[in-house]
Amino acid sequence: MNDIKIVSTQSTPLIETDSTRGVIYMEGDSYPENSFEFYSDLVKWVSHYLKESERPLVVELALLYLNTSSIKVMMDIFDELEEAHQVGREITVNWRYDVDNERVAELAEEFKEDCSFSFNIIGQE
Amino acid sequence: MKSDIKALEQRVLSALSDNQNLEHPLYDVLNELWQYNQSQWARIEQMIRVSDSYQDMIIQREKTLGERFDKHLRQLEKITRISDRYQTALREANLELEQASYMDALTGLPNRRKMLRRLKTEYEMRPESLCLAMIDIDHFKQINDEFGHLIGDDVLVSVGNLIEHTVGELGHIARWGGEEFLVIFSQVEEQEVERCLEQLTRVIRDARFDSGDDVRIRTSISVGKSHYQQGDTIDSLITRADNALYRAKNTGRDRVVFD
Repeated sequence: MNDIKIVSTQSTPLIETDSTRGVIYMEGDSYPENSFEFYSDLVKWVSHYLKESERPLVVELALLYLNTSSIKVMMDIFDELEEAHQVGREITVNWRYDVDNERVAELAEEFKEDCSFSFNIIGQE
Repeated sequence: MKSDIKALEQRVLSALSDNQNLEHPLYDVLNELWQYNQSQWARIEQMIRVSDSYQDMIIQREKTLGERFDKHLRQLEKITRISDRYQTALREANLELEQASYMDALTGLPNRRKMLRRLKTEYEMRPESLCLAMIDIDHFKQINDEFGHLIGDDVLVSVGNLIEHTVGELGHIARWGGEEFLVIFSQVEEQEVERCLEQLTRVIRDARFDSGDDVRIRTSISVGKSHYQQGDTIDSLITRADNALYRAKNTGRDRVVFD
């Protein structure tokens, strides 16, 4: 399974996947011109990983600003994770934020609302 | 009269099963009619079954579509909510940045940038009533050298506060840079401006600033004032205030020079 390694830019986050350890990392701002295109590899990777293995998946996030289409993509991914969790898959999301920026935590809470898997919002100094 | 179909069917069935009727001339006709009737019933029942399953399928489909629609609607509402919050957060951050970009971080007074904007507005509205005062703390470097930059900063902040307080409603003050302040007087009688500036030099002269130990720091200010003259631009107004300040410095400091 091909892993993803996308370096961050001013308008797009760093994205890395590790299929052997079952981890996704995302960090930074997300306002690409075309979010659906930008995230298509990640969306495919998630579907593929969930279909091809039964191992747990951990999503490590340190996202700041998301534009509307990025929000939609993230919600789609979380929906897919939720479906997998409903049939027994172990899923964990760790959303880290700077304690000076409490707004990020509030927004992470919005995403967490519909998820029954482990969704941790972790403030960091 | 309502015919009892069940009873009629029963009569036909018993007539057909009675062997004595086998030779009856109408037996074959009745039998054939009966078989036809039965096959018609079977067809109708099958049609009802097919129709029912179609209806069932459509209901299911509608239910699924409805659920999907509801899900999308929920998702849309959520996206909108999150997106709105991001925008609000950005807007607030922008406002904070904008305010910060117009404020001098040390004194909390409007900075040069903000002052230039205000000057431009005032100049466009009524240039003829514009009056500028360029204020500089005398021998400020000595305070810094003698007591250190932290105390120097405190003096700067205190002088700024005293200017703001003394000028009050008459004008707008800004930190122009270094130990320099600029005051704009708009629509104030020239005599009143002069009185205010004379009072200001007295206030600073009489003030004692904390040095951190027993020594009280004393200082004074030099002020150069310019008043709008025919043909003045913002730049020339500032330059004339600067020149007046220069003359105040050269003629002994602690004074106001009217241009």
